[in-house]
Amino acid sequence: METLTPPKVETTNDQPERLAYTIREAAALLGVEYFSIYRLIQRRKIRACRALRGKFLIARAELLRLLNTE
Amino acid sequence: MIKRNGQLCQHNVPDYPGRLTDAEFIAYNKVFPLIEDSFNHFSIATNSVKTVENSLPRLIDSRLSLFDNEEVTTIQQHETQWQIIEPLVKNPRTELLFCKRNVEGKDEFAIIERWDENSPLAQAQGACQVQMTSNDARQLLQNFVSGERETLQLWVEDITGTAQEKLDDQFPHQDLERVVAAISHRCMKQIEAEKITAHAQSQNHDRPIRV
Repeated sequence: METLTPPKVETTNDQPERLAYTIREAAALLGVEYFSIYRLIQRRKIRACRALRGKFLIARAELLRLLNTE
Repeated sequence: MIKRNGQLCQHNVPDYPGRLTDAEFIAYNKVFPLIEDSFNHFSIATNSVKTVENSLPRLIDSRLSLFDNEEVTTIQQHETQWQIIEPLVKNPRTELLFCKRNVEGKDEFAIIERWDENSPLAQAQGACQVQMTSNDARQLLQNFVSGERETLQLWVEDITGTAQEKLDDQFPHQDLERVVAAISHRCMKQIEAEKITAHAQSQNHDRPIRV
């Protein structure tokens, strides 16, 4: 069962479920510092993909995997 | 004065050796506030890494005196007990701890990341995560700092990519590469290595590091 709640900052109830999150959003969801998220990426504990301009995005499925909810 | 696209390059921005045109300067000032929060966190993280880097000689020595101190703090990671030598980084939601334990008469050192135990990540994965271990404290700390610098580099790429995306959204069809370069320079200036005390880096050790 999914328990991941989208961050309040950028989503509303009208929006469809997000497929991916920025580092900032991922940090808010996981309750850790930004640096911890980059560290997880650097140590390959979590997979991130790059948007067109090089910005990191983390798939919702990856966050769910990390939270053991998938 | 140099001109670019018919505009004078006359605006200075922090840590960028070039000067920006009016259009570039407007774009810079519009976009930088959008990434400022991440940049500020990045600056704090960079300073933490530099502090650890500059403390390497003392940290390496501190492992020797650990057991002279009767008040030793320990943490439990799964079924393993580690003694905290010193917190390397301390933030409201994350701590990085330099730790030690004794296994069959040999010292083993570790870098352990401890998250806020109430965070969703800690509740799912456990509050303490061993980042790396080694029998060689010096090598461990050097590898840790090196990993942290690689992580900061990823962060710069993310900030730069985000800035590029915002510029494309807000100023389509304009060549604002120099604005991206200025933001990238500002980040890179933060992580420029300071002169590290040679003591910690002067000796090569070939003991393996387990990550």
